[in-house]
Amino acid sequence: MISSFTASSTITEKTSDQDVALDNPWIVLVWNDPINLMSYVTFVFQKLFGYSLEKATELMLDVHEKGRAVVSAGTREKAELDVFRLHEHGLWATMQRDGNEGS
Amino acid sequence: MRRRLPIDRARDGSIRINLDDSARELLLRLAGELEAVDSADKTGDPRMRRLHPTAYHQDPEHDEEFQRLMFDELRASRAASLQQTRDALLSDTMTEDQLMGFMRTLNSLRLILGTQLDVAEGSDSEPLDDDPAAPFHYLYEYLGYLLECSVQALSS
Repeated sequence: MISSFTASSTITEKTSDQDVALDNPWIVLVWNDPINLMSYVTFVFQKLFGYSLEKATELMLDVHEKGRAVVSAGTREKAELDVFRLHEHGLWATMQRDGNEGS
Repeated sequence: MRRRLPIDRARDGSIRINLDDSARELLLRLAGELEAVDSADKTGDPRMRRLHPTAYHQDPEHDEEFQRLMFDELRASRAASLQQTRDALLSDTMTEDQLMGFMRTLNSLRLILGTQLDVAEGSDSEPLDDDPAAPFHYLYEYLGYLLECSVQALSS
């Protein structure tokens, strides 16, 4: 399922956008929500991104205390895939260009 | 004798399901409800919105494109986790892969129930007994307990 996603459904970028993306990669944010358990969120970060327990816990606490955390970064294609995997696990994830903070 | 957790890891490394028949029936019934919610037509149902969140929060146009491509994919993935859950509940042990599917299903159920109950940050106070939603609060807590045990089993 995931491989068919990367092969067929990634939104096509214009070349000029790709050039920008090299310098300005996309970031994936996870937002705080009152439902997801802290232990589960930590576990999902470890499982999906291979983070150590320490790193995953730090990110989870950032989400919990600051309202959100950047959990991964990269090309738009990678960010879309990461958002999808986080949604599969029920986390509230979004993506945006790095440096495009606000809202 | 120490009481076993509902989900735990045995000494030989296998993952055990120590749930009685009524708990299994309850989970199977909830699985059916999750399936019904997620297979309904796209509407303004807040439970559906929580199961299929926005991806591009700053860019509605790209989000529409993302949802167009990914909505069914996410639904199919959730259905696959549901099937893993149903298969696992027929047995006394499960594989780690099945446990992952089981956890995703438990979490989806919590998202639906929590949205329905309008759970807010820090609102883990006990519901009043005459609150008609009280059974759903207990159910929500129970699903959380099963999920905690599952995380523990995979981390041990």
